[in-house]
This record gives sequence, C-alpha cells and structure tokens, in this order.
Amino acid sequence: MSNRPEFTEAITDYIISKIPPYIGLAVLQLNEEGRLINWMGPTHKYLDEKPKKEIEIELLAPFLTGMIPPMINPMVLPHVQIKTEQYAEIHIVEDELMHLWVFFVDQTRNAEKLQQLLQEVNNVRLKHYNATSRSAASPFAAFHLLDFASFVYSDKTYRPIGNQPVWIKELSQAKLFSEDPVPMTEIFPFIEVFQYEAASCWEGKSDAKIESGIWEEDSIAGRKIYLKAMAIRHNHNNYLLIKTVNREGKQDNQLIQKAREQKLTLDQLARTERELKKLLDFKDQFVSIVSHDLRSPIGAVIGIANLLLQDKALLQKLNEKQKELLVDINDEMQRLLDYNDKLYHWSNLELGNFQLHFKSIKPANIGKYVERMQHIKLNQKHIRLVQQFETQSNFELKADETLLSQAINNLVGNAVKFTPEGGTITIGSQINGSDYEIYVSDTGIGMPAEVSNKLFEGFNRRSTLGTYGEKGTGLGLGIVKKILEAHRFNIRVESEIGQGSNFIISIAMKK
Amino acid sequence: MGKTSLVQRFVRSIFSEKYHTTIGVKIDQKELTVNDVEVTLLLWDIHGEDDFMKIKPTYLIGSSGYFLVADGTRSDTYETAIKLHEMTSSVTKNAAFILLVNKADLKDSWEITDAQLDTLKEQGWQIMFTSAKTGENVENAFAQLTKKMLQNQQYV
Repeated sequence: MSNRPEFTEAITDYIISKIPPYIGLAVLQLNEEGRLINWMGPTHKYLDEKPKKEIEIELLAPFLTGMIPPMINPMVLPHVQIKTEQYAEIHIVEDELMHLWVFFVDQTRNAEKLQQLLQEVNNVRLKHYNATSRSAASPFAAFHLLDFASFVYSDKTYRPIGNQPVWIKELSQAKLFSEDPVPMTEIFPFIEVFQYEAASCWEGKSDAKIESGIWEEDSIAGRKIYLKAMAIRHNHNNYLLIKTVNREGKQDNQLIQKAREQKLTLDQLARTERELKKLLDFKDQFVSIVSHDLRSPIGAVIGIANLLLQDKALLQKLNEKQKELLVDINDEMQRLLDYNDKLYHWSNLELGNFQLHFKSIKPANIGKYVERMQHIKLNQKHIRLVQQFETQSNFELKADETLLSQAINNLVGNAVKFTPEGGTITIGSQINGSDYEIYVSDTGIGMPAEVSNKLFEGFNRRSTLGTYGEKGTGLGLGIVKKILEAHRFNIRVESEIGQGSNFIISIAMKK
Repeated sequence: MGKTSLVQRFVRSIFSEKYHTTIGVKIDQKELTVNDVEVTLLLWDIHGEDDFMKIKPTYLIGSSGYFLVADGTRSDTYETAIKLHEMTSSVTKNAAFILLVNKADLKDSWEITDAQLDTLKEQGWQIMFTSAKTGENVENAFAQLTKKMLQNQQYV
C-alpha cells in the first residue's frame, strides 16, 4: 500500500456524510486521466490484482469501464456484484482538484439477506401467478366449481390451473399438489398409464379429448375416492382434468378401462411379436446363407477323401490306423454334409422359402425312394425294410412328392438309428376312419412317454445316440413337422420302451 | 423475465432452469465483431423492476444501448416493459434499444399477443423473440443491438 491518500476537505465531508461506517471500506484515488495515484483499505476484496501506481483504472477494475469520469458527481451504484460472492456499493466522486475517488463499501451481507427475502417473495408470486393470473386466461380456470382439478400439460410437466376442488384436500397425497410442477404420476400412478393413451390426443393437430376409466384412491379419512381423468387438446395447448365420480358408474367404466388396458397390452404384444419375427427371420436367413455356402467346401473335402480311399496305391502305403482315419474323415464329413443339408432345409422351411407343388402321388414311389436312400445303412445293420402300402381304396394322395419323401425318409432314418441289428422297419399306408394314414414302424428301442410327448417341439438338443452310436442333428423331426404342417397333415407317435415306435401321418380324406 | 439467463446464454453459452433473483447489478463483458468492427460489450444485468426494488437511474447513465426484456408467458411484463421504457429512454437520452420477448420456446403458452406487439411496432419499437433456454435468437439480438449502437456512434 502506498502512502495514505490525502483527502481534500470536500472528500472528507463526503465520507463523513455519505459513506456508511464500515470496516470493509476501500478507497482508490485517480488522477484526471483515470490512472491510479493512491489507495487504501482491503482492495483485494474488490479487485483481482494488486493496485499499482499509474495503472489505468479500467485495467485494474474492468467493471468501472465507462464510469470514469462519472456522468454525474457523485455517482453511487448500490449492490454491484463485483465477484460471485462479493457485492459493493460503489461511490465515484470528483474532488475540487479534479481527482477521482472510488469508494467500495462492502454490501455482501446486506445483498445476501435481500436476495433470500426477494427470492422467497418471487417464488410465491410466480407460483400464485401460474395458478391464478396466468391460468385465468385458461378455458378451465373456473372448472374447480364443477369439481375438476385442472392442469396444463407442457414439457412433460403438470401445472395447476385455477383453484383446487375440495376433494383434493381429502386425498392422502394432498400436500403434493402444492408443488410446482405437480408430481402427477407420483400422486396417481394410474396417470402414468393413461398418459400413453393421452399422447394420441395431445400430439394431434386439432382439438380433441380422451377419457380414462375410473380408478380409486385413498382419502385421509380412510374411505375410497373414485376418480376419472380427461386429456384435452385445445388451441394447441394440452390439459389434464381430473374429477371425482360416484360409484354407480364404476362397473361399466371399469370394463371400459380393463378393455383399454387389455388393448394396450395386446398392442404392445403385437409390436413385440413383430420385432421377434423380424429377428427370427434374420436368424433363418443367416443360417440359410451360411449352410448354402458350406455345401461346396464340405463336398470338396468328401470328394478328396473318396479319391484317397479309391487310390489303391496310396492305401497300400498306409497302415491300418491311417486307413481308419481316412475312413473317419469321409464319414464325419458326410455327416457334416448331412447336418448342413438339414440346417439349410430347416432354415428355408422356417422362412417359407419353398413352394408346395401338389400333385397326385403313389405312396409306393415314396417307399422306393426311401429304400434307395437308406439301403446302405439298412444293410450295415441288417435291418429289413418292409413296405405295406394299401391299394384297395380310391384315395388319391395329393402332396409335394419331394418334400413328403424327404419327411418320410427322415422318419425312416430315425427308425434305422434306433433299431438294433436284425430288426424290422415297416413303411405303409392304411385307411383309418376318415383319415388316410402313412406310417413308419420299427422294432427299435422305443422311447418313454415324456420323450414322445415332446418329440416335435422345436429343436431337440438332447439327441440320443443310435444303437450303433449314430449321432443325430436334432433337426430331423423338426423338418418333418414343418413339411407336414405345410401340407396340413398331422403326425403322432406311439411308442414304448423296448417295444419300438410307430410314427403315423394322418391325411384327412376330403369327400 | 429471463434477463440473467439471456446474459448467461450470450456470455457463457449456459442455461439453468433454476430461478435466482438478481440483486442490484451484475457486470459482464463479451467481445464480438459486427460489420468487421471489433466491439467489447460491457453488459449490465440489472435487477427486475417491482414494488420492492426500483431500478436506479444511475445504473443506466452512460449506456449506449439496452434491452427491455418481457416474458411472453406473462402479460404483466408487457406493461412493465412499457413503463420502464419511459424512464430508460429519458435517462439514456434515447440510446439504441430492442424489446426482447423471451421464452420463445413456450410460444404455445404465451399471453402477450401479436396485437399488443403490433401496437409497439407501430411506435417504432424493434421487437425480437428469444429463448435463453434454447439459445434461439440470443446472439442475433446482441448483434442487432450492437449494430444499432454503432450506427448511433457513426462507426458504420
């Protein structure tokens, strides 16, 4: 700090008469050019930098820019917020020597008290304004006389309009209505559901309304209060009106409300179903594409394995173990190809990527096809395939020969898997009442009821090993079911452990 | 009305939903370029006019321009703006001014009508709609006022 400033007589008089006695007083003395000559007091409270002689006042105190020299003498500016938590009354006085004096009087405490007081006053004023003055222009300002509690809905908040009807005070959550905005969905969880419907009204372009069903709330006295809401759109503004209703109207409106809720649930379910279907379709498309593309490389490996197995010169050079491995490669790749084919068929069936080509077919032809497909495995296990297709009836079987043959071939393939060596598999047809039946029976190991009951439900990951340790894909019966469903044929299985299984395809005979 | 919010939006690009009563005056500074002229604005955010606190003319002395700010959702602020203009125009000796009708983001809930604003336009008032919340027209308003001040000072 420099030498103590020398106050002129006029300045001394001013200080005595105008400056409130306060410890926080800081003084700056400036020359006629606005440069600092002298200073005293706690300047650090009001200035960010230490005062220096000759510094321009606007550099030291930017908030004084434009005030030096003052337009009126003296110039007094009360409650200047110099820093975030520092207020000052600033006096700027020019003395008879044309020096300028700047006095800072700390007003922080005074300003804080004033701020608190005015904040409370303004909060109440604004709340009152929102509830009455502003809402006086609203078409629903006087609806409390009709027992409506009215609110304007904007920016996802509810603000009250007009006065409150008497029944509000009876509610157990009455106090929450004094908040602004009103926490509506906290007070009435029902409204959170109703908002979903109300959105269709509030987001419209023209005037509209939609009513809710009746719901019940608890009163302070312990009795039930029945309420009903109305969402209104009027003149591009959105409103919510709530009213009490008597109990007589409760039943019908409860039904309406239940129906509405059920519709909402159904709509949501329908949407979810559509989304799930999209996902499922995507999955099937992906599987279809991948399985299709895998055919070539798998086929190539099988081809190479076969070539090697036919190369006698090579085989002579291999030991038994190595020959076995070569056979295993061929078998496993063959199995992989078979699996891949099933996957491809399955995905395309799921996607509906097939068209049924119906024509009259002879079941016996299917028998021959299946025998051709299965003869190697049948021979390996010395299983006898018997064909018993009926020829007495005039029934004309109409089906997609390729797909139906594939389905029956799958059934026979399963039968081969689960029939021990020396067993018998019978494929045939018969008339059973009004149905034409094609069946595949075996003398295999059979299955318990808990397995047969769930045989056609989706994928079967618990694929059982065959009597020769044959591995399954879990897809075969699923493909069978898909194909038969497409034909509108039914399938059932009769089986007992140790007694074999009988798969029966039923075809309704149309008259 | 949103005076402090407008200044905060312009100077600091921030907005707060919380209402905080202004006491006295807060002084801020902002530089901008208008018509290739670099200008440093000293912004005096003065408390609102009401029964408890009247605006002191000393706050206005020496100002080159001012905004009168009304709240579009409160019709009484329109009357207050007109009353204030009578005082401010004489103290500032007809400095450049613009009436800002704030809360343009709540236009659907406005109480100040187009007819009321047309009346002022006929008297030569320049009126702009702003939203401190969204920032709509805030920078433009300050730019427009600066242009008017520069015109008054014949820099343009």
